[in-house]
Amino acid sequence: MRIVIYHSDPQTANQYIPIAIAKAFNRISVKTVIASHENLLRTVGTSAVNGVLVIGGAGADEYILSRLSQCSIPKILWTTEDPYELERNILISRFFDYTYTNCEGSTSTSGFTYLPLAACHAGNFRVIRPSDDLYNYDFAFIGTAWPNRVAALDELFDHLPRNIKAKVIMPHNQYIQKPNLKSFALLNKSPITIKELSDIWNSTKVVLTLGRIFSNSNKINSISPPPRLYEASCAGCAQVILDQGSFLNTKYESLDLVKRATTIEECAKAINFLLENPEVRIEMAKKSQQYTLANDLYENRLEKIIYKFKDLSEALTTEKPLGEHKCMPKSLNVLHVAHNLKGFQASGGTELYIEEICKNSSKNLNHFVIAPTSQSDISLVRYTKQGIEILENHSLPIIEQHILSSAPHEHIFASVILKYCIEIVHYHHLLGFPLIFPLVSKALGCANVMTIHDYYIACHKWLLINHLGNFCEAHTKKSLTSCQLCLQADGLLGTERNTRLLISRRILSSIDKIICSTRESAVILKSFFSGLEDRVSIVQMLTPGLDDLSRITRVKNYQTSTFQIMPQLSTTFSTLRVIAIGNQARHKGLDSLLRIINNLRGEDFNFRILGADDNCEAAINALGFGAKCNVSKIYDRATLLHELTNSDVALSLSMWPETYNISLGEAMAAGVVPIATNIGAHKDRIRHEYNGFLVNSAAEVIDLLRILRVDKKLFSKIQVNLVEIKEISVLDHTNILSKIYFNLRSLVPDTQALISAKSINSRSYTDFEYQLNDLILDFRGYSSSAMSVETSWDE
Amino acid sequence: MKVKNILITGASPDIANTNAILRSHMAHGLKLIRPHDLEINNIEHTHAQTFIEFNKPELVLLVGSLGCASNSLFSITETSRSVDAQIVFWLHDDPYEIDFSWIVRDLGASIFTNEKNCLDQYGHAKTYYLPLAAPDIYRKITSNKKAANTAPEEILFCGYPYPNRIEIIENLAKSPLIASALRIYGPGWPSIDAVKTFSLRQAPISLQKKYNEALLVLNLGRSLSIANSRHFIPASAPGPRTFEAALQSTPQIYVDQSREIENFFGPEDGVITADSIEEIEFLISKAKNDHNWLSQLGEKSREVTIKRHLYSHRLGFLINTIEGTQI
Repeated sequence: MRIVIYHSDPQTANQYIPIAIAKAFNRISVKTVIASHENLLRTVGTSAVNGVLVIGGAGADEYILSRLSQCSIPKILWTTEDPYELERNILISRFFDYTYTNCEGSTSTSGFTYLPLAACHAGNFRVIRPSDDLYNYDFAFIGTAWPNRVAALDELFDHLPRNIKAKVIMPHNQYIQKPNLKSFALLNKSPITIKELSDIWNSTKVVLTLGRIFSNSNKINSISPPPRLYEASCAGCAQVILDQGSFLNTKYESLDLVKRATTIEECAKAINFLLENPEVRIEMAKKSQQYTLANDLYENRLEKIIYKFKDLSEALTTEKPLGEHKCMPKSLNVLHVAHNLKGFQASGGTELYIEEICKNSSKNLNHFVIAPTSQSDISLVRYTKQGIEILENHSLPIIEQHILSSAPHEHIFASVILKYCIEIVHYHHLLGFPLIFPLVSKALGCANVMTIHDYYIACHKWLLINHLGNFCEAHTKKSLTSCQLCLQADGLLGTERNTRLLISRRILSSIDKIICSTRESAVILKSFFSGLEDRVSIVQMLTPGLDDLSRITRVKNYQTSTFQIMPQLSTTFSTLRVIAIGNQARHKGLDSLLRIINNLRGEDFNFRILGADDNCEAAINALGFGAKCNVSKIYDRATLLHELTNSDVALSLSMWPETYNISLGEAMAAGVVPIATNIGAHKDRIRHEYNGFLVNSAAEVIDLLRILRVDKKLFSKIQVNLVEIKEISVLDHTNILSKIYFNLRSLVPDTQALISAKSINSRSYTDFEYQLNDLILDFRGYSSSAMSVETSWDE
Repeated sequence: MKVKNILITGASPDIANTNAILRSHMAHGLKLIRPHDLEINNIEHTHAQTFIEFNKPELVLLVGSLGCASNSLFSITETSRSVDAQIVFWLHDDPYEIDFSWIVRDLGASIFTNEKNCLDQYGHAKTYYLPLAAPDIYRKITSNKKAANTAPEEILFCGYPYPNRIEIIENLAKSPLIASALRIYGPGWPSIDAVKTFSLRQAPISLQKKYNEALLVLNLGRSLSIANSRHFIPASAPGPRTFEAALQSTPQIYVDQSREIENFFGPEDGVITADSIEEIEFLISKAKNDHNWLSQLGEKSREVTIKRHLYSHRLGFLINTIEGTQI
């Protein structure tokens, strides 16, 4: 048997309890895994486990538990803070198959089964000191400074010997007033570990237990012993219990293993008696310890839990799933995260790519996309064969690149993952979203895929164009100095770069598969971040409409062969038709393009620009190229095919290291001779002077165009060699992606089980209180703007 | 495998960390135990990446705190990996900054932490407990005898005024005997009724002399966390000044909930734990009246420190552990 143990509280000093329970399981030969908030669902997904035991309850994150509730594995909650947090625990319990409570008094209200916490042999057991001279303290009280305790202690000290050697530790915090005992100066309030606490108990003659009269659920007072009773007994000390609020009901009293008092006077009398009678006291401690070892170790509790897990397991295998929120048994739900969607705002290659893979993938994949669709909206859409369906719209602004975490965005994201049973999250871009999304999706049990469309994960200047307007080549530099200069030019300190990269490294650690379209983009990414080798795959980017493009090639090849038969025609080769496709913005080499056209304006060249931005169009008009240069801003598929059919050379002059460049592929597939800048993916895709040309300056382009216009032999050689290039079809590409998704499914917990009607109807996901970022982010507080709700890394 | 070339640098820039001098003491300690076959370089954080790139040390030891965001930790660690240098952290601000452990968790680094209670907080990283120590060179500041009655009435405390320390001093000030003997040094100390506080930073050498001259040294831990809100991990390890004062032959009154100190100094080794004002009053009276007792304890504390608690001992453990000769 193998059990996952998870402490659900986000902030707790009781981390020792799940560790103690795990040790107890191990002592009775049950294997355990202690899971964190971040890896609970991944652990459930990847380990062969028989059940999940969640300790705590009240502080739990509902998103994690809700996703856990979808897993077909027995789940048991064991609360630790009843009755004080009973209301919340009742709410949380709907995610579980069974709930145990630490408080007997809470059972009737909640329907939970009573199972007291216990002692841990490995952590608490100490050999009892046989004689008085071996003890360090006469008396000890260790517990949070609840007001009733402070008042009781103050009164008690008046009744104890003046020279009593006492150890009192009363931790307080911002909610609990600092204790100010009249007759005992508390020197130190710092906390100690359970191990050291056990040492103190073991070296103290009489240990006092005081109840806590404070509760969030005011109706019920605790009537069950706190674990301290068992832990202290296991550590080998005599105990006196001052019970002023009927909080205790234990066999320890009836068997005379502890002294119970109901008034201060009785309590003082009991303490004094035990101090004066060491033999009686040590004997009482021995009996108590023996009883605890026989009855109240965690091992004694676990038998019930193990039986319950077995029962639940059998029930699960026989139960037939019902309900409306059923995930398709053999299908896989994929959520794509993008910075934009085709059809909503001006879009580029990434948006086109997402549409292609969503529309053309296999039947057993359900594709959802979440993306900002305007400056103030985020949309969730589903792609089907029929088209695009808008499922949700949320009025939330896109966030700036400097923001690392934004609870409202993450809240929506987490809700979507749960509501649509998302198993794979495929990140295309995090621009407009918080950088921590991958950590959120992993914590919710998803497998993460990231396609590197640009370098946003490495820098908020995702094209790696620096403050001087050039490709920064930061990946080749070991030091961050050039990055600091670049940030400083933007008015930042420059040192934020280190923080951004440390965080990005953490984000990347949560990505299970990183897809690069060519070798060069993988090289650049791995130059920024080491240790990615095992997770990076190179999958060639698809080229949409490959069949149409290939038809153009066949036409051109026919013309080329005709030319080879009739070489005399070379002398009549007059006007060279040059095309530039795609978003013709500055980073795509617009400056160079304009200079090239301007320099060749008096010669036999015609230029065609598809995808001009406003700047491009304005510049072309201002330069007055006339019929020499034809510009279109938006273009459709038919226009593209028509223009490629009537073009000889294609220019791809990007200044940034393209990760693929779909437009380049379209031109090459159509047999148009490519001239491209010698950086990024271009270097992988073009073999210089064989199937295209790699250039380093606008001057080289101009010279090359003049040569190509007259050197028909060179031109035709390139065109012929272009036929060898095998662009990958949409179908082949989506098949590869599909394999990747289904392989990663082994990391995802089995969510085929239904969300029970109880969990669905009682509360919707958006009602959950979002706290995942607190749970999974330890870097809150790391950057200089640490204290703000929205932690930023670059300002 | 024996390491031949080691770089010691800060986990954060010296300008952000007043404990930067510890690195020099560590380098010196290392030199003492491996004087001939180990090249040791001690470079400030800001320059470490360049040094690693060009000198390719086999081992990069990063000392100090992870809590400072303005540094080059990313490029230092990435460059170290690119030259196949083994990365080792010796973090001395645990548990106060333990929530930042994610920064080093997935690096394949070995982590030495000053806090035993943090050993299981670094995920799958190899972790070891290694508290700070006394600098070997401080042995020479004073002889093994306490200075003769230069400050016979003085109970010395030197350190930052963390809230828990102020609270303890305010409590101690309720005793006229303690209040009249206490001398508090450290930048930023507020005035406390009946106690002489000096809001001054002490130069290291001057502090050692003051330790040597004092009747007793008061040792108060810190409980101010920067990033320890996940599990509220208690601090237990003695700070470096514990060993420095012990080296200067002055007995200490050690006020802390944790008994971890007993793993460093036994009951007769000159570091005496105290839980109450009454116990401290008793110790002061005894110290004033029983010089033999005082002097024997002081000598014992120096002896124990020289035997076990110098940086050379700590670096010996660290390097042996890394080389696989002591796991």
